[in-house]
Amino acid sequence: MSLPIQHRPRIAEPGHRSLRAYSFDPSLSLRLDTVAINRLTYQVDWESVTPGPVGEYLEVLDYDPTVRRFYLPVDLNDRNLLAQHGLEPSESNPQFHQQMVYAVAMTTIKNFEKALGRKIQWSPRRTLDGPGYEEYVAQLRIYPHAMRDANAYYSPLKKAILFGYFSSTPADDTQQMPDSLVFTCLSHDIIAHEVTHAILDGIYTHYNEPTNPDVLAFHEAFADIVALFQHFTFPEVLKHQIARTRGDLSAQNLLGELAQQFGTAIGGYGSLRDAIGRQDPNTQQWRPLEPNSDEYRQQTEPHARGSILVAAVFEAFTSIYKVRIADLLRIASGGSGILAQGELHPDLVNRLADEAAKAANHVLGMCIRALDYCPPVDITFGDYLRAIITADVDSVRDDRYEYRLAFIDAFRRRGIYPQGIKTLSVESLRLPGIGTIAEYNSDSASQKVLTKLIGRLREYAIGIKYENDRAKIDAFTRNFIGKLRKEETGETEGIHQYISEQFATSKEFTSFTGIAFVLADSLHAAVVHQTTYSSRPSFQVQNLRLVSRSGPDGLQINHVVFCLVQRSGVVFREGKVVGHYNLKEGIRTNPGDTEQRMEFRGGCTLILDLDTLSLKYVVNRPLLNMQVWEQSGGEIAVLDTTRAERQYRYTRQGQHHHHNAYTQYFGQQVQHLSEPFAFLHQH
Amino acid sequence: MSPAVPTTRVDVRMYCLGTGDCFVLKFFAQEELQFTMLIDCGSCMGTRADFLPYIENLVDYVEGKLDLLVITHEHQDHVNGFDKCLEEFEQLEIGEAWFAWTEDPDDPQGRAQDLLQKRQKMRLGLRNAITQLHTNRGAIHAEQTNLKANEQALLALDAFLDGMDTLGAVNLDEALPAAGGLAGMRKIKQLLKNKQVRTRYLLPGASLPMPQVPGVRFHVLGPPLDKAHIFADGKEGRDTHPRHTTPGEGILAMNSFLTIDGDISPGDLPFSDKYAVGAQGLVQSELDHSPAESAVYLSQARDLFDRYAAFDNKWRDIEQEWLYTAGSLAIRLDSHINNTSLALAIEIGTGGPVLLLPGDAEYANWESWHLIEKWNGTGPNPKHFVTDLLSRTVFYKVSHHLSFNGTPLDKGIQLLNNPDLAVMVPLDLRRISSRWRTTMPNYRLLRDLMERSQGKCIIMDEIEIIPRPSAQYDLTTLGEARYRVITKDGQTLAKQYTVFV
Repeated sequence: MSLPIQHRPRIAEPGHRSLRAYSFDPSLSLRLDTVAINRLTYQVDWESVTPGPVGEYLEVLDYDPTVRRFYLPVDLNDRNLLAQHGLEPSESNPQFHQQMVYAVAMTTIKNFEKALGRKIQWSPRRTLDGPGYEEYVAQLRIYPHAMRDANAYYSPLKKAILFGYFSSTPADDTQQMPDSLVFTCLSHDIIAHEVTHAILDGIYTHYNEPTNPDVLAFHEAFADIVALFQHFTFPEVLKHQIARTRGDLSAQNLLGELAQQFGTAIGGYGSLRDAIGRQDPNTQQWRPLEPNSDEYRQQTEPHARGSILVAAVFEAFTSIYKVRIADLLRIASGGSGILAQGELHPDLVNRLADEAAKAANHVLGMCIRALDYCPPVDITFGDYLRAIITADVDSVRDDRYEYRLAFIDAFRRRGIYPQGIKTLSVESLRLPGIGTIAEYNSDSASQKVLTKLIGRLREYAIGIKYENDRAKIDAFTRNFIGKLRKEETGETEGIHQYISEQFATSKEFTSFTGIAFVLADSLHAAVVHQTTYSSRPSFQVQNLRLVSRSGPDGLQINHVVFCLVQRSGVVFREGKVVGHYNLKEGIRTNPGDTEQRMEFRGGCTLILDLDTLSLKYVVNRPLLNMQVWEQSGGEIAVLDTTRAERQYRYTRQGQHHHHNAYTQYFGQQVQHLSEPFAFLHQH
Repeated sequence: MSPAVPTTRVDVRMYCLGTGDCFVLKFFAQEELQFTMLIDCGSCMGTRADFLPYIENLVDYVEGKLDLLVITHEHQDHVNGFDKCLEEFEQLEIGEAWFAWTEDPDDPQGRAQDLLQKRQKMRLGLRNAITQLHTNRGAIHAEQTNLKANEQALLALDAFLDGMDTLGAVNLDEALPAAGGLAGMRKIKQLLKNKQVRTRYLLPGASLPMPQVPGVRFHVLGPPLDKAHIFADGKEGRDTHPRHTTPGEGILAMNSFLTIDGDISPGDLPFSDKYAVGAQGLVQSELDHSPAESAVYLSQARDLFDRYAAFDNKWRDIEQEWLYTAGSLAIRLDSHINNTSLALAIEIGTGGPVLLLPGDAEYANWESWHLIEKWNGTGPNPKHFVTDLLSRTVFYKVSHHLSFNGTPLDKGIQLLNNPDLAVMVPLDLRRISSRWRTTMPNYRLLRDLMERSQGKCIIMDEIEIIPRPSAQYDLTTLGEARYRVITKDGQTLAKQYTVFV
């Protein structure tokens, strides 16, 4: 008897696709001391791909406009290729380039998804001005050979990453052949860096607007942190280094050092790590740099400022690593903690590498998770520190390795503090809990509005929880936000309409969100932008997401997070706020006008706990002057002129503070930047 | 004219043609005119008609005769006067002409020719890139313009074109780049040839006498001889990356601009041409796949390629972005030509006052002066001779119109500590290329120069410069003998400062 074919054993889809690639970039394969660690087999989550590779998230399109040619796309399903873990790493085969870009980009995406506990989405395409006119973008496009330049950047306009190639003229031509071709798409760090820019744009699109010196610096630093720590999560790379430095990752740190050296071929990227340490010109030894608490106040150039943040996170990582391996070192040294001369035992090397990779994974996760606790506009490094601490308190109850302290200490040493807190500790840094609105203020009507909203969001959570199709998640979310009320039932409106109508019932909602929902006095109506079809102040609901993840000690979080963003058209004369304009009229004024215009944003991130049905945290950057609002009992709504004027000064000054000659000639005015990242790596 | 009489004063006249250099220096022994020299003639803006009143005054002022003509470097704002007013210059009698060694068509080591060839190639490539960008702009403009993204793309493109036009205005002729360089440079060289004027190409470290002015020595400080300095962009340190300083990378990108309309040969590709899909599209026979799979692959690959050009996806194409590389090339060309500036220090009598005339030398040019070996320790207690010259400088023609990279700190301005220092700045914000306005003047540098010259800072036109230097120091208090403004029909033609020995 023979079984019908459908009952015969079938081979399940593999869990992952193995793809060979460089762990750094090709130049390290030319050095004897690093060649061993420069090959890595990336384990990319399995997905169905077509030649390109084109998958769910990415569309690698290898068109080279400089020669008007396509390069043949790699077919990752080719059976010969599958059987040997992808193409052999090679600079001269563009199909390998496509493979590597895909492998590293997917690894980065998956690291984000793992940490965030949800699928990532690319930032939508804005087709017309105004809210709502957005188009879903399923795949980020990647051009591995887009230009002949030592540059690579994420273009928010095209939802694409453009990688360049160039002929190198290295500082040290013993390390590289002069005039050899260098491909930016073969560098793990550049790929991870640029993909991170794209992912961050999908979460907080307003972080592309440099409203204070920290914003672009944050974008750069965060991208670099992800690239850097992604390296550390590969134990293969770490083992080699630990054996070489005998376990001391901070004194002589290859990863920090390598990360910098890799700048020999491609500038700009390594420079963010300059604050970690540098080579002593006399001894040629690499040394960590002592932090200076004035740096944060003094540096304004995005790279220099970003490097402070990178160094702070890096120091936190090394502190954590040291704590984690203290016991191993004691065991290996018979209790003294001082290792004997000579090479380390390979078992010890393996264990140390495991600990380092684990610590790196944790740090990477902490840094990514913190994104859910950041304000939607105008971020500062201090906000980010608070977000890191709060996110960690939420997901890890017992911080037995003192991760949070390590972060606080490293930030403190560089003079990075959030505004308005009196002491630095986990308790003071953690965002203040709002709890239920009843605790905040015993107005039961408001509590009802909020409870009903959370009930709604629970429906959203249930609706979205088991949906894996990103396009469907997006459509569902959009509908959930923007749907208008059905006349007959009067029930099923989207949360935008709900918030707009219900939050207008009490001044309390303005008090804790900093968003104006109602402007009683027509005198103040001009402060906040209004659309033509509503009598209420306009605001956007952005970035609604379900955060469902469990921490290492089993702590389960079920949050729904969303942001509210509000705009105001502000008119300035001689640096002072003198009035408002209708945003529809546009930002441009005539040359010679004494008045200038600026679009000014405020917003808040609301974190709601579905388990306790409470509003857990609010992170806000109000448009309004909240002090005046509170003192007047919610009667007087005026702009936060201090922040508006600070932003105005910063953006105007920016015109005279060019990062480099390239921005001097070709940059746009900071207040309307179309391609914020194109110039950052130009020198 | 008796040869033994030493120079007692030098009149330095700055013609106010608009941002750009045109300087006449007259050397006197008491009241007797000894020697007349002209340094450069050009401006960022202006037609022949705009130039004429100035040049007519100049011809008058020099009494039809130049003992020496100095051309510092090949930028429009230093040479286009020779093109626009060629007839007027043809009338002049010219004794001798000096250029930097980088202009020498017969440089025995071939370095100058190599540089000139690269310069020429870069100009061609830039011109092509600019033309293509304007064509693309037209195409984008013709599409729907109500799209927010489209509008933003145009803004980015316009900002870029603005920069290219600024750099183009100084580095390119309006006509297609011709062999032999900018029209002004070409024409003045031809004129010198026709007149059989003795022409010298100067190397750094030379100290030249001129018979008319005994005791005066013309020291050649730059341009440097090594490529590293000519192509260095100045902001030394960890910010500067070597890739920006050599033409190597430039050439790769440049080649793609040179072939912009032409055919691509396999040598132009970064990879073996077996990977490239040409205009004829994908052909099955080119593929290594087994036949059964190749049909699938072929259709999938074609689908992928079709996505690039599909109308719905046009907003994602990358037809502009690669042309932006022309921007960094234009900067490199610009900076490299500035660094080929012939920089002179005129020393009036051994140990006497010095006039510093650096053209538009940028940081690397300045830096190289201090590395001239034969001058090591030849200054007093034994300093490098250049340090000594700078400390004796009583007149400084500010390099590169007060931009941040024209006057370095420790290699330059911090050594200019003579109490008699006066400076002249050929800067006029009414007549300047648009992108220069954002960096010129560099206010910190201006403040520093005001301090060091105790207010004797003569700017071509103070318009839009706040605070006005003249509000802090009234130049007329220097007296007619030291400072004069030459006007005609209410128009300022020139400003003149006199150095007394």
